[in-house]
Amino acid sequence: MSASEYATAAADAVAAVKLTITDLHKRYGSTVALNGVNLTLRPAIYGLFGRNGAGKSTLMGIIANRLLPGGGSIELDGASVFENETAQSRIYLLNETVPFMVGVRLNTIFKREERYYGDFDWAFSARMLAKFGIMPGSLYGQLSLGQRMIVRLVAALCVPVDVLLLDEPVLGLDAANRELFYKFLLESFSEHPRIIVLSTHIISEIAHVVERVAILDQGRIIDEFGAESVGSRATVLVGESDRVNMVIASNQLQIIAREQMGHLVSVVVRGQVDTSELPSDVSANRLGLQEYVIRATSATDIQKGQ
Amino acid sequence: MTGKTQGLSRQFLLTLRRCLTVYGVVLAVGLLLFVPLCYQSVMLGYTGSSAIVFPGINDVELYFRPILLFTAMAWQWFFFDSALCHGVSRKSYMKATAISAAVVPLLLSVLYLMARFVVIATGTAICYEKSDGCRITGPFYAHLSEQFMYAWERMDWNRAPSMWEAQYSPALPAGPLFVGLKFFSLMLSYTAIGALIGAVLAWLARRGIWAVSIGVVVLWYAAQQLSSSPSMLIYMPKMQVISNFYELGTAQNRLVQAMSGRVVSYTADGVEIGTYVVWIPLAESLVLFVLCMWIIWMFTKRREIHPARQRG
Repeated sequence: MSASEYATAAADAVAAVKLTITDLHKRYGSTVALNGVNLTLRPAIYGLFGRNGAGKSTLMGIIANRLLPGGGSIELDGASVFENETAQSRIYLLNETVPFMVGVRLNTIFKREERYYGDFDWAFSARMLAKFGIMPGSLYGQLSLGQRMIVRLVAALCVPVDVLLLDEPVLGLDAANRELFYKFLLESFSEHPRIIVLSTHIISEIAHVVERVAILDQGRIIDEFGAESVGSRATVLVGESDRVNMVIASNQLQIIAREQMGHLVSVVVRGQVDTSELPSDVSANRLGLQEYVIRATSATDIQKGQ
Repeated sequence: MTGKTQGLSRQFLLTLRRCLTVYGVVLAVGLLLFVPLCYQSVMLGYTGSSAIVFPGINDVELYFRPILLFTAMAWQWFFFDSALCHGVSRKSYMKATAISAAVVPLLLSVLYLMARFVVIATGTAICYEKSDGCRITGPFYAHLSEQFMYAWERMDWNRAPSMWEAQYSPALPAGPLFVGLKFFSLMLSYTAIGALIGAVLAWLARRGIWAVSIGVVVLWYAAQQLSSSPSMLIYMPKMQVISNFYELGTAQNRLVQAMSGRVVSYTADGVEIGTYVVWIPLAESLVLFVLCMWIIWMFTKRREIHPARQRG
């Protein structure tokens, strides 16, 4: 097999990676954490967004077999991921849980990851640590909170897995280090395309990093779309209440969220609105990713508050 | 819903190796500390006292009991999260726990037998009678196991306690094997119980610090109770101070016999004959082991890792 054939075959294999989540349920006592999650992930950088307690960490924990589902299934290339070590060796989750003793050296941590997941990218890890200004021989316990997170991010980006789950990956990182991390994340993805799921509340910062977006609200996926299409996902109409209602009714627009502010009303509607057809006292603006996520996940509260 | 993993997975082998390493390190430290104790006992020598616990002689069973209990407990409680975070399945973790909990006592028994009988063969042992059985003394011994060197002993219980005289049989040809099996059964019980305590504490830990605290207090109290009254019967089977436990035909008496492996019968003239049947404690420990492992599996397969915030 020639180098080009090998590269093509490798690309095909990567492209075939598919993580399918079907009707996933999870409860904590009387609290419903996941309520029938359905999602199909293919190699891309996903942003998993939602409010606190929406079920993001729970979803990731179940994919990584750390939490047990109440029902439903998760399959990686057709094989269930639950209690399946072959599948789990292709999945890596980074979250608040520290899976090693804090009194060890960084190289020891990386060697351990290599033992469990296979070929560790030592060159990439050395380059990342150098850029972040962390000595490879340092003791993990002697690092600052942000540096500890960087070390764990380095480990996560250097293990050869097909599904990388990053739950609040920039927690404790300063702005400069966050930018550096996004740069390395994109570099890692371009070198090794795979399913990467980022869950964070700093949405505006990673809007340029993620390719696709999944929004989780009250245990359900309420929207999933390409990040570049966020501008066409929704429009916010602002104006006098009667005038805005008239526009909505005449164009048969679907309301996502509605907020009353005195005489004025701000209504988020699904899809694009042709501004040339709007009355002069009603303005229409496209939403950025962060605004859309906020409006989409606040819809219930705002409507309840009416 | 559950995916199958064929053969011995890398995660399982790594977990098993890690578990055996944990036991190995702890036991190595334990043995390193034990050697000076043995040296000290050789230097002190036997005092000639007929007390049950001889000054200067180290009881190996007693010494390794807390070591194995706490190692098995620690493995079950503290290492699970790290394993599961590296893609190890609950089943593999359980298998590694069970295999280690069986293999370590086996290796320890072999090591003990070799060391013990080298000590005997090199002539440092003195067999003396009429104290607490025909014990082979030396720098260390196993109080319960070494009774199984002998098939039976005769004791006339019609006499006053002060006049008790025992007649001991000579050591059996297969005595060392029986000693090893009894020693193994004890060590196996310790690892099984330790792992069970660890699984229970881990389960309580999910319910908060108060649940763990209460659990530790309850376990400590239970351990105190067990180490005071009933287990005294195991350690001192001839101390018939608690009448029911030694009254022929009672359930308590049968329990004592079953726990110790010393099956008692009485001749017409009231002479007690105690026969040491090693298969009894061995079978009991195997049943205990299987039972403990089954309970641990019931806990383990429901165990989850919830994100521990701010652990750094």
